[in-house]
Amino acid sequence: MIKKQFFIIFSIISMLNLNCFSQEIIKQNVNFKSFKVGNQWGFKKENKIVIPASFDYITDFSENYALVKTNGKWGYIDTLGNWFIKPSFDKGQPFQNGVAYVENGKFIGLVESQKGNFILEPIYTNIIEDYDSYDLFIGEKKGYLWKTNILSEEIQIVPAKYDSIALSYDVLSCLKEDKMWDIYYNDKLIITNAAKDIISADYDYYTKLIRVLIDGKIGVYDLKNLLPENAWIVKPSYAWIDFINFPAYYLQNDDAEKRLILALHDKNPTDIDPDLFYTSENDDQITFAKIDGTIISDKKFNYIKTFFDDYLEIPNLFALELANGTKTTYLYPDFSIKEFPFTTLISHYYGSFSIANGDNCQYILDRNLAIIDSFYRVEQYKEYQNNPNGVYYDEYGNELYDDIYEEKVVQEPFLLVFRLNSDQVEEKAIYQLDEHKVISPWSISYQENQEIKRLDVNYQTLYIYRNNENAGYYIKGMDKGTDFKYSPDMTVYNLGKYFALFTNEEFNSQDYDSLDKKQDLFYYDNQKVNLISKDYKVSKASNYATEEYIYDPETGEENIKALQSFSEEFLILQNSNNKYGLISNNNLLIEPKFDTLLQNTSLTIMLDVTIDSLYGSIDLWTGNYIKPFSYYPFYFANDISVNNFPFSYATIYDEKLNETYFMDTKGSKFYCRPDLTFVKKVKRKYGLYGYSQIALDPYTEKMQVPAKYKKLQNSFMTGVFNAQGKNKKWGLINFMGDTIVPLKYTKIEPYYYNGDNNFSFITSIGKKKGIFDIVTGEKVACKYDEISTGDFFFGDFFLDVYLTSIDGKKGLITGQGQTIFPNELDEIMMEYADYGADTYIVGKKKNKKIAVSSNIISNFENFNYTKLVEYDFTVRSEGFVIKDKQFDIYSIATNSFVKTIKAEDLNLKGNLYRIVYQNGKFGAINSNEIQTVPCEYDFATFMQDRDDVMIGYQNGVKYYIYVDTNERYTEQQW
Amino acid sequence: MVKNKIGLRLGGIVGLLALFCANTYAQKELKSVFPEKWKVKIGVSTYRTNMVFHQGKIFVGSNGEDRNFKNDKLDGVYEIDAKTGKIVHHYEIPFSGDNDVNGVAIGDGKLFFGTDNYYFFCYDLKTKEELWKFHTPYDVESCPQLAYLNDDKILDVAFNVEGNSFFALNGQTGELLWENKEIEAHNGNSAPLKFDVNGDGTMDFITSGRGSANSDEIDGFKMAHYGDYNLAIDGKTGKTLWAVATGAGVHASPFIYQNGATTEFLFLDSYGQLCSINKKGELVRLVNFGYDNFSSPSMTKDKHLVVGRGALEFDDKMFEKDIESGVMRSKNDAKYLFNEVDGRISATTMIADVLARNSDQLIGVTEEGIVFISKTTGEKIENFKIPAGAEASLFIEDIDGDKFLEILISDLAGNLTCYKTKSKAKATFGRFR
Repeated sequence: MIKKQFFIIFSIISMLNLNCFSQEIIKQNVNFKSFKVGNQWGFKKENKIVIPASFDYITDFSENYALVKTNGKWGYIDTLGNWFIKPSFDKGQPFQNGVAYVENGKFIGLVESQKGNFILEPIYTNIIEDYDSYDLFIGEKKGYLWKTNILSEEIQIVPAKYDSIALSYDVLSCLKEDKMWDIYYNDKLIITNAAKDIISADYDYYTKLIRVLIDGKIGVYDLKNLLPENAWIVKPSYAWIDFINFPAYYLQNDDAEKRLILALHDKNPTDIDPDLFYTSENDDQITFAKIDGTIISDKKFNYIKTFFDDYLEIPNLFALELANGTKTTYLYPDFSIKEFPFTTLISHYYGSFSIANGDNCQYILDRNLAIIDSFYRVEQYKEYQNNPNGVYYDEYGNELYDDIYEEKVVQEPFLLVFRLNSDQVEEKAIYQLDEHKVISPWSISYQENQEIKRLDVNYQTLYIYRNNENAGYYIKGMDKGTDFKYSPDMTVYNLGKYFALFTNEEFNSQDYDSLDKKQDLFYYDNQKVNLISKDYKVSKASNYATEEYIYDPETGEENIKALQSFSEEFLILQNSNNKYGLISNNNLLIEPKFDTLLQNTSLTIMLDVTIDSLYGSIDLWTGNYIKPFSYYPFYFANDISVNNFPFSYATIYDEKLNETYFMDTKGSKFYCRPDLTFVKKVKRKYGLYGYSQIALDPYTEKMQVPAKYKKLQNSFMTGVFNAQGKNKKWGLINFMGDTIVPLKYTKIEPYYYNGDNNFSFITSIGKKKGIFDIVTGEKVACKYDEISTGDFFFGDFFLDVYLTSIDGKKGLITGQGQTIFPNELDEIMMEYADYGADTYIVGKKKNKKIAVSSNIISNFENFNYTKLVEYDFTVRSEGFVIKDKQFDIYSIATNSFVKTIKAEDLNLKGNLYRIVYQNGKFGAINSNEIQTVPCEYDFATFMQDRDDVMIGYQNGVKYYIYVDTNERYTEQQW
Repeated sequence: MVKNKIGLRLGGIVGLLALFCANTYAQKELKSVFPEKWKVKIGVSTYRTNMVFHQGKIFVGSNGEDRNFKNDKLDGVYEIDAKTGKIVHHYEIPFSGDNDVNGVAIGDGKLFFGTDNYYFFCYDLKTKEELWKFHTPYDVESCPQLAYLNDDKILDVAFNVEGNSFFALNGQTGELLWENKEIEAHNGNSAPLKFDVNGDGTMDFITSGRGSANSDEIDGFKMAHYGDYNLAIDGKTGKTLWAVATGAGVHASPFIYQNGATTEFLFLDSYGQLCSINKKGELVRLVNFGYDNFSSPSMTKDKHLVVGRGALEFDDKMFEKDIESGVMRSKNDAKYLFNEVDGRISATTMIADVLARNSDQLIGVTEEGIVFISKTTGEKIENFKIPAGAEASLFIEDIDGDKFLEILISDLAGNLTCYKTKSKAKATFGRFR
């Protein structure tokens, strides 16, 4: 009795213990170890038996279950030893990724580990697993299973009853015994008895339209439409249907409507060229429709021709040439059909312009085929260009690898245009396509070798046009180009905003790379050309190397020894007195006054200059000029930095004063290196001192800056000090006492821009803040309560913008202090175009939003805040304004109206889910018409390329919602 | 009369030439030179497959009828009588799944191998029974290595797992000794070597794997580093002794090159850069070959490095030191000669005197079904056709005790064929692992 009671109590306790530990055991099933007793297997954990040895074979626990064999059959147990799937299989597999193969005799099936149910009953003779699917076989018959929904209750198996299966993207074509095809999409049977399979040519993946042949007729089916009866865009009633990508991609503006049109053929076209969509002229009648099936025009055509872009070498469909009987018309990008006055047309350079033939002239057309100009004749300019990939042979058949030049069209915005003069002689000129004007004088065109050279001058193109005898030039801003009055020698020197041309009178030398001839020197800025001088000889420093001849007495020969060449690029000027000057890369002009101009051997940016045998120097980057005073050229050391800039200095010995000191590249004198300068208090004032590093008197303390400051402190930059003046205001000085930031601020703090040091400081005057840049000066005045950077970027670059705040209102300014958004917004943030690279800066103002592309900085001069549209919602690159039950859609990038759309039509159709609009709110339903997201959103649309995620707005807050589970995330969480 | 004779003679010569040319261009079959001894169906193999000859039996893993089939009846390991080609035993995994086997190892009376079904097995060679199995996180693709890794006198086993760690298990119980997670095995294709790198008396392991890239810079047409390393793992502790970055994934297996007193480990990455690393983990030399190298390097006695169809002079005098990096690079005039056989070569080229010429030849196989034989300098001697292509490396050894070498070829049609040779030489490099 006692034993029995004890046993019952023990059992109860044991069961309770097991139950208490079960969850823990499940989590720790990796700690199970197998053990064997006789020929039976069981499991131990921490050396204790948890599952007795009662199995013929076991595997380790995998995904909480172990595959075991008993009495010749296989099943699965859980970590408590309970059957998860009872032993009923001839063979099984441990669970992997939630599934396991099971076998019964020759047949294979698949079970899942969530509930132990069959995904595939063991009726298959083979199952071949692929990355995202299974091929199913019953004997020779085939079926298919996508892995997408394998673990859901909505799994749909394509039965193994087909002779063959073909997959085109996500459309499955299955061949039946009667040689007809069943078509599946996302494991749903959508079409039966198709006459042929769907191949890639029949499927426009972007629009999700397929071309289907049924009963000898072609129709177009929309895969996005979940209701098959509504899915036929064009019912099978045509002999043939072309999918034509139209118009050209650069005109599409991401508008799906403008990507494809359908050409509906009454008769089978006899001559299909997939590149040209050209049909022969038979009695085929072609109608055109948009991708929603809307017929574009009642007119029928028997001929389609595309335009070819010679640069892209592909059809460039910004218009289709159509023939209706004998009349030729064109389908324009706006879907209008118009007659066309041209006989032929070729588009060029991504369709940016076209040249069309008229009756007696040629036309230049813009990308929308509007006439810009017309001339007797128009040609593209060709020149010989080096083709490193070209293979050519000499007369012996040997391959030539170097210097392969071939004639190629210059793809730049200018053309050659021709006219007949009064004597009916052809003349030619240059036509600038951007400016829509002739820019050169007219010249007789049979004169050969007209060349056009293009150079960059101050970010504009300088055109030099020449014929055999002379040359002229044009640059934007001139009314027209000059006459042919310059030397045809094409060596033009240009640097920054300067350019120089040889005048015709001076052209008499073969050696045009030296300072032999005078040139006209021009300065170009603000689209104005200014003549600087006619008297200078100009040469590029990189072309100029001084050299001397050295006589070798042993050989009796004179050998050339190069004395020097210049490391930096600049223009050397020489006047008629043989004095030298220069123009630096940053447009600094130093008039000729030097006897010599030489490269400094210690610092590449420095030039040594001499006057009367005394040396001075010029800093090519800053233009600092040290007047000649030294008998020797300066040697600059470059081993320290100040203000985060490298700091160069020379050591000078003054014989007269018997003094040695340091000198910077401006010529300023100092005694202590900036990294060894320190603050010293002298009689309640502060100055800067240092231990002189001059060799003659080291360790002597030297005054660098007199003690005149109320306070001096080290800053975070070497050689820079926080300085407080008499007025108790702060600024920054360098180790030589130069004021870097004026002493007028109540506070200065370093500003770390995205974690990197830069050269900006946040300055304060009272409670107002601004920004001072030690390079450019005060860039933001002290007028904001707060200034910070946000995480605004465009592509890979952080934008140079600052978030500001005044009285709690947010604004945005550029790095130069220009206002992007005034301080009237409640919030400013970055939004993303889903998976695209586009980003937008969005400001919230009460219930409205304003938005600009984060590319605004590069186009700021054209920006006008007051003209920004106020949106109710922004999604991707579009802004939406509610208007009754419709939405006006705008392009954020261009701030322009696109179209109006009804709420119901707002991109509602996904593959498996649909956005619905009920009682003024948006929600989502699945393919079984079950509501998965309640209609509680003021606005909703699918995320781009993600029809499982809906973007919805509720009370002004933007959410990303998984439509199957209704899980949602704010923008920031997402 | 004279003219006629000349005409006849010329005609004869031309005719003979034509016949010769015809014979030359029509590919000879391998069995015409090396008679077929036996053939057995075992399923397909891969370039990761090795064969082990043990006590008169050939042990080889199989990927089954088709590598893509799960539940393939031919999967497993075959024990074949080396003399007759009869299957003595088929080690079949008792449960379903993708039980493809590539590399096998035998030691201490046991058979060791891993599968694509996330398990590593140990079987008793006598009883044919499973002794233990170890659940791996993913497929075991390459060959295991056996070594004594501690003082318990038990022969242990080590192997890499695709995309995962390098494991060492107790050879008797299958218990985990250590796991190196520092650098994953990438595809796990590289078959590790064993060598006492640190001189502590315990074998260490030389292998390749993928960790984190040490740079995001671009180097020409590719990234400077994807994260692949050639590494040495301490056999005692499992710690990484050294890891040398290589510019691309490594599928080929390392080779030990004993260069006099210096030991160099040769690695070849899939962008074709061969590097040799010394015991200290220092990069000694670099040579560039072409893309897509799955075939592992080997070395002839006359110092020619063999990769696939070609051989490169590898004597030290054909190398010069790069001043900046200190690494030796092959001189421009180092000869690289190759057999012009067409087709992809995934198998490692073996080195043996199969033609009985008292000097070694290179012998390899293409996936298109050509066995090529070349001089050790790389130049072609003769190419032969076989019924099907092969990825697995040839196996060359006297397996039937007749003192002559046999050549075993496991092909992509699923057959293992044994060919006889007339050579009594010992193979210099006759087995992949």
